[in-house]
Amino acid sequence: MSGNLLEVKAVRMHFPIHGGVLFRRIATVYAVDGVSFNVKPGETVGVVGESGCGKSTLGKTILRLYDPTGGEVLFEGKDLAKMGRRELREVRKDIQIIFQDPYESLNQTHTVGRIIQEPFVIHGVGTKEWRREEAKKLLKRVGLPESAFDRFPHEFSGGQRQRIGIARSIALKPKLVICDEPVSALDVSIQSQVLNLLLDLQREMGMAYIFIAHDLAVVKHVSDRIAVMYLGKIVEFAAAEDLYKAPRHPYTQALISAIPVPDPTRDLSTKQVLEGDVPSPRNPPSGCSFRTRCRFATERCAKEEPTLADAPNASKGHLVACHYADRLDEALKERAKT
Amino acid sequence: MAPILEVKDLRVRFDTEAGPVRVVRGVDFELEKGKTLGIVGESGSGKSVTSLAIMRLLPRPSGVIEGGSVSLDGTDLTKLAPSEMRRFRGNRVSMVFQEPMTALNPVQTIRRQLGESYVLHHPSMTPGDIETASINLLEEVGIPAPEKRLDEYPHQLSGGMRQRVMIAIALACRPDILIADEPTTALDVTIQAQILSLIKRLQKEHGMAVIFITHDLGVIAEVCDEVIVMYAGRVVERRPVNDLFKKPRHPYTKGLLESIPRLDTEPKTMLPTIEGMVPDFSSLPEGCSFQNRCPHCVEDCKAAMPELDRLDEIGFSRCIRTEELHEEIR
Repeated sequence: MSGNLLEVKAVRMHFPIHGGVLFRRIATVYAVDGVSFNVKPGETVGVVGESGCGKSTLGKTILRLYDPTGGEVLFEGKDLAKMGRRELREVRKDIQIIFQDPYESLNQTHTVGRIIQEPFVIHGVGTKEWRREEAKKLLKRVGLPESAFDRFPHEFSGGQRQRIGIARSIALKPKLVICDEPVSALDVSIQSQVLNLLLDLQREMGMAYIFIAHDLAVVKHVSDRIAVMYLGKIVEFAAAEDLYKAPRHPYTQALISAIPVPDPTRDLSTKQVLEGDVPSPRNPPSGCSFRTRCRFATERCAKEEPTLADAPNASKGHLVACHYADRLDEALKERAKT
Repeated sequence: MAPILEVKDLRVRFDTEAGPVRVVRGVDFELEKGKTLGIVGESGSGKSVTSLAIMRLLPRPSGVIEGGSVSLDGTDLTKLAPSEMRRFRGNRVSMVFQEPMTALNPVQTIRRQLGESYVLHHPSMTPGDIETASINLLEEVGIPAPEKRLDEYPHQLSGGMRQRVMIAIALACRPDILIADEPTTALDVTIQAQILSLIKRLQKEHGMAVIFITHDLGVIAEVCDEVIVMYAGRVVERRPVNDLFKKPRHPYTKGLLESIPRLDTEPKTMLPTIEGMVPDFSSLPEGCSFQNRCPHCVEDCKAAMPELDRLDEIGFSRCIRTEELHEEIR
């Protein structure tokens, strides 16, 4: 064992597109295309990227809600991708997920009490009485009144429903929780409440999170390390603080620059605006997938795909996939001087 | 300078099966030519309904303007007959919506949807004129190969491109006022940056006034001159953008600003929060609507709804303890 809770190794998730008269495979969506990273016990790894970058697919592939088309997902050293049904069920006690939309991810016809007890029932944990008591404790823990037990999801607001989803996901005291855009559907004042709850639960229970979101400010707030994804690949991976203070990939730089900052005195003339749209994952560009929008792109970028490797002159563990990562480093220094 | 738009004590009611719900409870503001007013608030604050009421686009028959006035250059839009309103809508006041896929007609070409406003407001234009104008418009909003795009359908465009088309349609008749209701909320952050800079450029070129409705305080800081903060159907604070962000006066504004995670805050620290949630319109408390969530609430707050008091020449806050709390913070 390497001391990692989860090791994701060169995972691929390619979805076939069938069509035509014979319904043959006519194209492929390269949703996740060779992603590797690891998660240590108790830490939070953030995954950030724009729509279509494969971040949600990655989360679902790790949990094996999709069967990966390549690579390995090692949880405590065992490959989830190769597990049989029974073994998988056993390990899913330790890996849980929180979804984005608390309106759709809770069964509307079940009471909140039943929803929260479901993990116990599925995994045959405890007696009926114990389950009830435990579910009530969980409700209290996530900040809901005990009276919620006999009510239905539609009686609750978005933020409260997300709390119900969180209660369900922590019921079995998992070692890893995949949070897939857990706060993006919530109002600003509710978002901070839920983020605080997640941080608090992690401190108390020591589980690891994979926190997937499109909002870099939110991801940075909860993560120890962050992976930036673009078109199915990780383009940069670094400690949260390093990623923000010294981004090495031109995409990360542009992403940080594009975030509107709640400070009207910010100088907007230095703001980078990326041209064009994200290319389709059905037909990614050759070489570096970001080259079509990159201001540093050269011919080399079209021919040779950059690998995710140690960034030059950076902290240990700071990885970047760019042929010109060193140049960007200089560009940053240049900017700091002026 | 005289304001181009003056909204006075605007009130909107929805008649539902459970009885009338008052969702906009007296909104006042003025908008000057070439300026941008931001309206910020959470879901249910009444910010979108305010804009729909200005456009006279409230769902019928349930949405009713109960009172107040919206005067555009001296004409009260709330008093206009539907046919008269049609001459203003899309012509003098235009609107861009959040979801360009649902706001555009999926079975009509871009050509037809762009041309519509010309056909309606400039009946003398020939089809040739309209085509030239449409191509120019698409070019202006940064759509590559506009001649080709004219005969495409919305689904053939990306989200960012659709929003550009929406903006082009809104700008067709060179309106005095553009109302943008969460125009970038459905877009990715790099595309959002493109659309924000587009709106700002067009505003500068045409001297339009813009009402920008959003829940994102970052966006507000970037594009607005003046901001109104709405809570439970009322304006709770109204300030020039720099003042609002530097020294928010209303406890709700202050709470909102503090609760946003920022790139420069220490990771994994607890965020300040506003406890509880936005109250239901049917169960608003007597007195200040924010009392249940306010850390500074005292007995007097529960007695009567505070007035929107003038703080200085240009700022307003709806809190009886504004002055006192301001001193305390100092």
